[in-house]
Amino acid sequence: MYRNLNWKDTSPFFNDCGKLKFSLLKSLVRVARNDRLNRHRHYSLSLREVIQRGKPIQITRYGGYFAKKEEVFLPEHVFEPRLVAFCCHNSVYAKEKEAIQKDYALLQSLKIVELPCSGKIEALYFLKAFEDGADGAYLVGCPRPDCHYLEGNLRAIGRVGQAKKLLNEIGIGGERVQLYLLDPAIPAGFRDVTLKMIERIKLLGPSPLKKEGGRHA
Amino acid sequence: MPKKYHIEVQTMPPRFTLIGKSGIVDWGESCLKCHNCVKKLCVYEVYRKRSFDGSQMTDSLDSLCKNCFRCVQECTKGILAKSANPEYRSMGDSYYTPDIISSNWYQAETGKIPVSGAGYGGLFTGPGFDAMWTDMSEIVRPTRDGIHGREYISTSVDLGKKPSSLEFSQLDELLTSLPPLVEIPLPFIFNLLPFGDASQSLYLTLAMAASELATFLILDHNTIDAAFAPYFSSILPHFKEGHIDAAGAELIKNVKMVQLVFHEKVMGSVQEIKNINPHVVISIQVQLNRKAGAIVETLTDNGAEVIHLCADNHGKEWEANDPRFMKEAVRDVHLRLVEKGKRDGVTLIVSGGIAMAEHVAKVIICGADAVALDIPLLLALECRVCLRCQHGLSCPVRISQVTPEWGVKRIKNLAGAWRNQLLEVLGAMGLREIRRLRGEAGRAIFFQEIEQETFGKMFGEKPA
Repeated sequence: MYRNLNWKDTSPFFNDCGKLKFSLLKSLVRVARNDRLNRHRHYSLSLREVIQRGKPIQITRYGGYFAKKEEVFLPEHVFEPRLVAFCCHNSVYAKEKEAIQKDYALLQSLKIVELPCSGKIEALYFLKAFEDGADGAYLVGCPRPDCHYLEGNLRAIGRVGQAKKLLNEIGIGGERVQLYLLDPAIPAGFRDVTLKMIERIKLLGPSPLKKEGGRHA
Repeated sequence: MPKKYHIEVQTMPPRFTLIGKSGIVDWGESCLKCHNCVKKLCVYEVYRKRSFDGSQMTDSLDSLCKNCFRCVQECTKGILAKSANPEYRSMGDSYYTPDIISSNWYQAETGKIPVSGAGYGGLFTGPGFDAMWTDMSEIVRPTRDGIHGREYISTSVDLGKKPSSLEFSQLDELLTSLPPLVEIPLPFIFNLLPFGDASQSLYLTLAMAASELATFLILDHNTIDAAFAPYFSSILPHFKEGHIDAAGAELIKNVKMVQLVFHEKVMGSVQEIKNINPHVVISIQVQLNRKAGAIVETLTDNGAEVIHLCADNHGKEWEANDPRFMKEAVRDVHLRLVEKGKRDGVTLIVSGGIAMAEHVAKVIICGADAVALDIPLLLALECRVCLRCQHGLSCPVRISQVTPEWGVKRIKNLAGAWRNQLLEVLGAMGLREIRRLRGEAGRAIFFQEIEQETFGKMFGEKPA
């Protein structure tokens, strides 16, 4: 009963990367009930809630600013982790910044926060990231002897350890936080660790905070 | 004395923590826990008021700090350091620099003219408008009693066609039929937004702000619905297609101005609109490029009333090869009309690349009658020119969720601060009206010209 999703047909809903437009997530949609008895009935849900149900579903959008009545079939929901990357401004990230900022598919699930030094990080930064709906967070800094602040990366090691401990205690799981002190000579080092981190979080699943209605920005 | 036009400003704090220019790096592990900790002594109470915005990942330490360096200097263990914030430096682009963005944020928040401090530490020239210096010869004249005092400086401009002469009958009756003319109290109108996470709430905010400031908002006619009805007198519908449907015709009957995009047969569309509503002033949007001068001249000959010249977002011509900056391009168009004696036959509105209040005055000196603002409006609503919205990514400051109660005040603050700066510029020039500033190239020094004049004799033409 569901036809295959055709990106071209549904361009008002999907962006260049083939993902749902962010602004739509907030719009209310009328959802057709799928059971046989109530097929003619509709109820309102936010598109975000619909996606979180994780099933392909038929959606009709009505009225409002868009004033269009169109139907789309959402693809089956796949968990896509949201990550926050804290990057030292002098680290390997600086070399890859230009390329990463054009990689819109990657930026869909990644928020990058540039720091003057990995030593600026505090456990609070990680906690706030999870509070705001992140599934994982990682810090990218310079290798041990190369810190521009001399000992900033050494402090970062301690602070990430502290954050892991706190996250373990509150049940989010310290394994969702990682520290990477990368040699700038490695090509695409930042991209590699990002992909590695995405894989890691996919295995761990969504953040436990989200299941309890955490804010997912 | 007529009542002075005045923009009420009111401090309106941002919704999200601002990105600070610099930040504190705190190596708290080495703290000795002194009883007289420098963090407690901070006169701005930056450490006490500290908060962290999780959705933005911004630390209020970086935005509240006033860079007095007291904590850095006085900490006995030296665990605090100040560093430039890379997030700040990576904001915007080559034209909308972090300083321009944060200066507009400040103006939208406070409605005050930004003061950069004692002395100017920057360069005396640069690309674009920075290579243009305005006249300040009258800044110390004895009659000056303050631009906000008894002096009345008008910033009103007229949009429309002005007849070159008037004819009267023997009974002193006016025979010339006067074309419709619209007067706005500010030399700027609000342009179509080049990007931005658009929503009806955002457009309503802009429409309400335009209405309160008594200026215009250019809005795509498809976007305008019944919710905009109270603000029709401040809305300038933009018709992309030449054809005007029934809904468009109904709209035209209720507005004062309309905008069309230039095409070969645009004057036919102009006539069509005039048949619907003869009192409406019609603006024709023309891309600013090498051909713009010829197009504007032809349109003026054919009876165009207002021409809206659009440069790109960085104020450059729409040319693939060697585009000129708008100050040269607009001057060319203006002088071409002046030479042919047709300048008053048309009003020129210029848009694109207007990022600061001084740019308004400078582009008017180059020959524009008024300007249209676009990105500064978004800056007033906290935009960071990250352009994520252009690629379908989320807006970090959720511009689509702006409420009119907050947004209108922010835009009014920005307009108030910009207008005050225009008054300062006009006061310093000894002008009483912004209409008189148009094309007054003698009121400015163009760096390239003066450099050529001074050093050209010795070193020849400067290579581009």
